[in-house]
Amino acid sequence: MSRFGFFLDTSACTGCKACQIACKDKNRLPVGVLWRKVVEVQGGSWHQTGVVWTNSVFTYFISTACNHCNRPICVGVCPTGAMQQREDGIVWVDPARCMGCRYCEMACPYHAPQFDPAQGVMTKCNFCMDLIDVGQSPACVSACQMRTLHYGELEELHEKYGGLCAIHPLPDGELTEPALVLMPHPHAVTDKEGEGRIGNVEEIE
Amino acid sequence: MRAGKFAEWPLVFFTLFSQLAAGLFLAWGIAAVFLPEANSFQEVLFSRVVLTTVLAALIIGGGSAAAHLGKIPHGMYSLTNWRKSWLSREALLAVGFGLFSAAALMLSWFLPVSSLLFSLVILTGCLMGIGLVWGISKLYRLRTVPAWNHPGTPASFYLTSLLTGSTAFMIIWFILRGEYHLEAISGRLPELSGFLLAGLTGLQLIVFLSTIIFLSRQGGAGAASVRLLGSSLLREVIVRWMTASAAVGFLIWSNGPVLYVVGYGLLIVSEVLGRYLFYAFYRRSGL
Repeated sequence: MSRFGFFLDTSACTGCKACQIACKDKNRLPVGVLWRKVVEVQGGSWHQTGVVWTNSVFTYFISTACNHCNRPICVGVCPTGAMQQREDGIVWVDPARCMGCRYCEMACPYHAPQFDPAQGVMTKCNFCMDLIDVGQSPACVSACQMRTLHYGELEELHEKYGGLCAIHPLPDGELTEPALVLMPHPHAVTDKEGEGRIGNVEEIE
Repeated sequence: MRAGKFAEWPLVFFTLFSQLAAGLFLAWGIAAVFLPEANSFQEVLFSRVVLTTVLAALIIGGGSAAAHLGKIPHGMYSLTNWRKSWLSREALLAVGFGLFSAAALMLSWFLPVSSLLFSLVILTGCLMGIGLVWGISKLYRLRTVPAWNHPGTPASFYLTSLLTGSTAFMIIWFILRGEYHLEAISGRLPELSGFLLAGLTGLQLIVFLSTIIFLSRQGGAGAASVRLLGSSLLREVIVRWMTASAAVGFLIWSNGPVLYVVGYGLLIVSEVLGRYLFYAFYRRSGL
């Protein structure tokens, strides 16, 4: 059975956060819980050459949620079996089994599992599997105004857009093999230590 | 774990008390079987105090672990996913070690510790305690957390287990020593144990320094963890190793029970700080 994945064109994403808001609205997430986050990466500076000043300042955005990895570390570490993966690759957490130990939160390099203090359990993006199962798109994809966020069968996404699944500051794709395909922003760097820094750390923590 | 206020004290105390329990059982097992005055450590009173302390430490540790959970009633499911999760295996090992220690305590009412069966019980309990510490260390070997994913983690955990367990053993010995007329090696037990604890503390320092060197060469999250130790956690690092040094000083140059107990106390404080630093310098790869 083929796997679902997300595609994000970071060269066109404006960071409007419609995806983030749509997700929060659809899933009725409480304050402090973000299943989809928009990471703002900033960098560059001003440079003087003689009397001339030029700048290399840049910003790009990465809308990220759970990437429903091929080797989901959260599923492997979960002691109760609450974190599960479907045959189509969608990773979801069963609140009836989760004991809220936050071990998955420690492990996930995308900071996808989020602890909900009100329920006492972990919560995360589930690819809107209730919508997927009836042929509809995830809420975040439907809300994207710039049409930069898509979803589909991972193999088709790879054929169309290539195999890039990590740009700074996302982790090395080999860690968990995310079901994610990216179109990089011109200033995005694909090596481990990029020039940019995260500009909205407190927002995405 | 999120930035900001340190929230992992339940895990600090769970891991410390569990490792103390395993180390204490191991220290008593070695003393009761191999030391020249092994019969002293096989005495019913001494054995029961040790085993009761082991159980108390496990209960306190378990309570701390439960305090960390968001949904305590679901904790029973943590015993079910042992095929995949080291946290599940650790829970099973802790329960097994606890049941075994309780069984040994009950057995002390029916059998002498010197009996063959009890010796087998001690041996098995020691192995289970060693397995428990291994299980605890494995669950922190996350490939996404470089600060924890190296051999220094199990090495440090085993050293903590030996340090805290031996310290607890000696404190019990000091409290109960009036019950026994001890000669020879037991008369020198505090002195010898002082050198042992000093040596283990030295090994703990070597592991710490090796970890820093290893992580510094990695870049990414590993190097970020080292930077934390050198910046916002520097004060705690200094206090941790000054306390450890003071403990070693007291243990080696002590000439009376009071100073030994001060040394033991400082050693425990030093290990608590060390475990705090273990959780505090956590940095995950990626976001």
